[in-house]
Amino acid sequence: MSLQKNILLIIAFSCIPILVSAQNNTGMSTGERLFRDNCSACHKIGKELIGPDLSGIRSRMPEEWIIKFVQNSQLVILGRDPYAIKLFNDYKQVIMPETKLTENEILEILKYVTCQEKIVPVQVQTNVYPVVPEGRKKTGLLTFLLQARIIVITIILLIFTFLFIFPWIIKLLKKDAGKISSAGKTIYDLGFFFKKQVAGIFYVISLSIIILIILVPVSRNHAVQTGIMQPQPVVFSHFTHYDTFSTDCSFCHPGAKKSEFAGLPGINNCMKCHSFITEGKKYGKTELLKLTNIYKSKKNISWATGYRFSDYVHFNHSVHTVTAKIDCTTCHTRTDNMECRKNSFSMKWCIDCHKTTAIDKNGKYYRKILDSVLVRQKQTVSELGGMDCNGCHY
Amino acid sequence: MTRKKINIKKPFHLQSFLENENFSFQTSRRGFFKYVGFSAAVLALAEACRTKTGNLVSRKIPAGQTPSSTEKKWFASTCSACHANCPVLVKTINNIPVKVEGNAASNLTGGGLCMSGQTILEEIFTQKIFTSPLLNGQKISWEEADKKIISAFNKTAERKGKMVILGPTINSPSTLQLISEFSEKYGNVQYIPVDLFSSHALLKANERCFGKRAIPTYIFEKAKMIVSFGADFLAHWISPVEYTRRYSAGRDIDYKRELSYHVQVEAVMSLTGANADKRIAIKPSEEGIFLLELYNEIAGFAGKSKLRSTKFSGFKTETREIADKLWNERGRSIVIGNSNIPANQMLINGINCLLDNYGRTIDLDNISLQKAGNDEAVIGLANEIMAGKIDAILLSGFRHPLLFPHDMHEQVMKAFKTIPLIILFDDFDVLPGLDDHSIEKSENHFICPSGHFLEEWNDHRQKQGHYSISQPVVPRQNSTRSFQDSLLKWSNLNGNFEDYIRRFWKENIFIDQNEETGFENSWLTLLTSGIYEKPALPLKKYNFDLYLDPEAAQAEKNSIVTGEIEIIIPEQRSLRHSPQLFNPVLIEINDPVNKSCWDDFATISGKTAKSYNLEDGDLIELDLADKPELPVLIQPGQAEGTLAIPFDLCYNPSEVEQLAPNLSRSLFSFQDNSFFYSVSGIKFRKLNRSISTVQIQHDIVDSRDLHFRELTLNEFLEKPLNSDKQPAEFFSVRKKYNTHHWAMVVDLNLCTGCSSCVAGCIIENNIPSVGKKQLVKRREMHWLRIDRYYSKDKNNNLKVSFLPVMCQHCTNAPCEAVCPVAATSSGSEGINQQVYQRCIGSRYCAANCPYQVRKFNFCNYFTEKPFMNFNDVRVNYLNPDVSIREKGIIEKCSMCIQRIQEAKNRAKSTGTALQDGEIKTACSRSCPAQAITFGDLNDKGSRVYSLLESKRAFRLLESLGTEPSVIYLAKVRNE
Repeated sequence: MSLQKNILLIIAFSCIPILVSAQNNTGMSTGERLFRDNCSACHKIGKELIGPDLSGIRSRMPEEWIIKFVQNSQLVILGRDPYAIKLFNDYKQVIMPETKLTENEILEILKYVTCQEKIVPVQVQTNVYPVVPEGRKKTGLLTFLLQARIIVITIILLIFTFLFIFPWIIKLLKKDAGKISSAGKTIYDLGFFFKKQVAGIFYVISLSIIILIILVPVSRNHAVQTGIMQPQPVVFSHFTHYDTFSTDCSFCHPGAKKSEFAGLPGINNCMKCHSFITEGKKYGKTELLKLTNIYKSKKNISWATGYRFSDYVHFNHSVHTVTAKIDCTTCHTRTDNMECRKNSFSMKWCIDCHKTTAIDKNGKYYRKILDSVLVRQKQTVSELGGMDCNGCHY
Repeated sequence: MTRKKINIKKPFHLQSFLENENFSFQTSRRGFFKYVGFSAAVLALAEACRTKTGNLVSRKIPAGQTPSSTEKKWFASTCSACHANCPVLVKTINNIPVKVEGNAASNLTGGGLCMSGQTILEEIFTQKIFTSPLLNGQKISWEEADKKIISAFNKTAERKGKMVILGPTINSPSTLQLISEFSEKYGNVQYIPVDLFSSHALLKANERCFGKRAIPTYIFEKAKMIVSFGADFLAHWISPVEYTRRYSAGRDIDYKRELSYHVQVEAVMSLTGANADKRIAIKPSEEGIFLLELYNEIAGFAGKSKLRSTKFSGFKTETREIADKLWNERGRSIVIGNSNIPANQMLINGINCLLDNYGRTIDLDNISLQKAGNDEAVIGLANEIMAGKIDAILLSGFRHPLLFPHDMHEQVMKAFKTIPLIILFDDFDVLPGLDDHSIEKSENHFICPSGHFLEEWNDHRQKQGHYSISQPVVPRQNSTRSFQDSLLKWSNLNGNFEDYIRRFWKENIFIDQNEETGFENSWLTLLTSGIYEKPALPLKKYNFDLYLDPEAAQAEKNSIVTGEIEIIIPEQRSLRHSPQLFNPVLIEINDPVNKSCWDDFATISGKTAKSYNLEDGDLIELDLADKPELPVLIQPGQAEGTLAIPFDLCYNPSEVEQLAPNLSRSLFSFQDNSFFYSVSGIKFRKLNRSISTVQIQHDIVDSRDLHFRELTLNEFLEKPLNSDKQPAEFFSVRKKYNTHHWAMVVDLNLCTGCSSCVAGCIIENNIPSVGKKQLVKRREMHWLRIDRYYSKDKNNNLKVSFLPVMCQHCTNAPCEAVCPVAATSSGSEGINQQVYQRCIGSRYCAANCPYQVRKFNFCNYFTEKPFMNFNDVRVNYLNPDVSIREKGIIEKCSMCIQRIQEAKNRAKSTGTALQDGEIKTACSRSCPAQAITFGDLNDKGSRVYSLLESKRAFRLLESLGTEPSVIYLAKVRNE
């Protein structure tokens, strides 16, 4: 008897990882997607956030109650349900917004939650990533110098030319004017002139090479400068939202998966959560008070965009996030503030990636055109039009 | 202060330095490298430091806005730029409209749109004159205006006074119902439609012959012989986009192996005349007698009695030839005319009846509702106004000045001011037709401005069984209210006009769906597709047996050829149809036939001009009371002894200076119960001044034969152009495109030269308007031009050829070889790509391009001041997908690369294959004739590939070996 029980238990336990891995193989389950889109902003599994920890939720209350509460929590509270009132009071009387989820969808979420409970929750370790102070602190003397560089370089060059090169040439011309060299030639022959002054010329060229080596790399990255941060109307921490609370990127940037432009959250989007989260982790109430004031004045937030390409560069987010399945953090660094550019976004950077990235040949689009192309093991983006100038510039 | 004297012992003389016999530029190899190294270093430094920091502004995101995405949204609506009311789609990004295109789902237009429709967005953002309701010139609120107007209406109703609603033809079924409800409430209300170019005679003739006051549908695709008397049906007449589609379908030679024969009998060279196989130039006064002779010839064939005629025209051979051909093609021919003389239209109906065309090529069941102007009612109204019988007048939706004939105009306008209640529903003009502003200040003159049609709800019924909806696409720019909403308010009905339309459609059009959900679904389908089409009614035969002799006598009476100069107002677009409305995009697109832009010209024939010693651009003075001055242009093909003055002619439109404001009015008259658009007996004299003429046309002498290829029908059937050329020969021998090979096929046989593609290209690709001063220097920026060539056929008749030329996207492009910075190069998909940011403006490529399609930006047209006069409105609706080109760089056609990229990205994201026809360039999308086809040559099943099999395919200047990706199909003439 005990042997049979053991075998059953072994089978049951070995099923869990298979189930989990099956879940992973098929991509994101409906439950996970729904959870991410609707709940993850306030709830976690195995950890308390704004709302209670969801692990073991089925053992706490019956399914019917959960469905009713998720659909409209205020109705349940108004119905004087003792557990609901207790929850409401325990969690700072934050109203759980009503959702339009159907019964089946809520059951899917519950299935996902129970599935996740069994996996040991990965604790998000705070302060692993260095937190760069936000605001405009990065723009200091260095930035100013970088910006004023054109003037500085021009002045240096002009001074150098006028102080050294011109007088030197004039001096030479004056000194040797009219003289006849030993070979019987006037020394105005330019070739001769320079032969005599090899050391000086060497000095000039080596100096300019030094200038090139030092300054050009700095100034080349100039248009695509990193480390610059735009001051925002409301100071916003990507770290708090993304790393601590794992809010999905497309929750605030919905365009990233459906259009060229990733999109910026409007005030209504912010107020979905911040109508009841009024105290931030890092900046306390001050910044969120600003947000509420903007909302009350019926205006929208005019975010300053950290990543804004020039007019002539056409980058399409959706094709990279959906087709190429590139994670947002591949280009946007996730270690600290996203509004602080870490990658240079130079053309070289784009092309390097296009040259090495293989395309996913499963799409029908590629199937159709690949019939005419020599099928090789690995076809990179650049081989299929990813290096055309007109791919991005038009 | 003393200045130190600089002592130069031996001054340096460059002259002697260079002239020294021992001097040479020779230098050692090492020395050379030293110079190069140093200058390169300095250059590199300077180049490296050129960029600027800061927030790089992108037009995709409007300043101060935080859009969630830049998704493009398409809204279905209806164009109301003219009476034709074509269904359109409006592309918007972040609630900003950027492009108007024809609705491809419509069976009426098939997705084409004319050039006025393409540029309609300019009107939305133009500064309007009236932005809120006015009473006697004072701003008031809508509530106040409503209160006052309703009380005035009630007073009128008590007195049983007469109210009139006067405006252009309304074909909106909901609006017509609303007007009837309005008249129920207030009793004596009359609605009088008035058109700019009236079709009253046609309507009246059909009423007399068949008892139907209606305009039939002309089925041009079925006709083998088309005879048009002045009807410019490819450009202006009734429904030009629809007729272009039908006409071109009848000339699709590869598909049909036969060609319609088109004869145009007219005075002024119109676009339709330019496309005709045979064109006969006659004076307007000769038209009646011409028709009479034609009638008699055909009656002779048919064995019917001839009409009495006493005069002879000078066109005996022509009429006999036409009659002969028409009789051979009876039942498969169409005779039309734009004449507004009822007698002439009766004769045309008679000819069509003899030829048995009704019920075969002329459809009197699926009638057109696009024009309903009633000239007699307008004259009746004028008489009533003068008699003081009108108590209130509501003027709606005027896009053209109101016209009363010149002999009665002054009296009518005098009496007009005494009407107790005048309400004007317009936002950009003073009361049309009234030049003095005193009327504004007079009592009880309300201005209740209605907005642009893309700001308002409306519905349309262009034809029997063809409905379309017009929904707001743009948020209201001003505090305006639609004409219909105002009527609703004043009729004390609930809700707004949107609800009214819904109610109307539920009760009258979607009647078979009784359930609520059924209607909701159909309504949603209507809003998304924009159109609702019922199956066409079966064609019925019509015949009439009338005694036409009085008409014959009338036609003869009208045909008094005096030998004096005849002045005509041709049915064609003026540069601006209102003094306040200034559309530089449209102005810069040249006239399709005479290719003039930025000015309107009175056109005159060569011989007549010679007798007056006139040249292009010379000013003449008409012998009228206010001595109007107009510039003339010599137009080949125009009838001798005629002078054609476009309606509301104006020149120098950028400086607001309207010449001869009453000119058009003083030229037209009321005769035989309809408006008459020509006049004879007015003298003119030459002035010793002239204006410069601008014609965008790369018209090199004898270059027509070099570029343009054509065949006669017999030649085509016997031995086509490239009878031995296979499609594979159109692929490049030197380069193989692996993925796609984008190509374009232009069928010159279908192209009518209407310039709709030019407008589409301009709006899509943010091409600026540059103004006349730049155009005189040949600095036009159009990526796509239509070259027009005049030539003579073997009978010495004038032949007109149209050739659209855009970048040919050569595989061996001459431009690429000469670019010093590799700013232009071949892409991997067959497109010659121009990288604006790389271009340094050496213009070598432009010089080396054999097709002359590369355009250089001499100025910053969108930001520099003198050009902002033309482009300040454009800035509001620029296409964010295409970058604005700066000063000093070359630009050219990109084959709408933004559309290709968008479609490719969509296909990649959704995991679907790219279908043939999914991508359409702006020009191919806008073409009403579907003459331009775009597609992938590597896709063997594509339409582009199948068109290569046509034996007419050729490429421009093929002998140069440039191997272009743009392929033309030769024109076939039916001679």
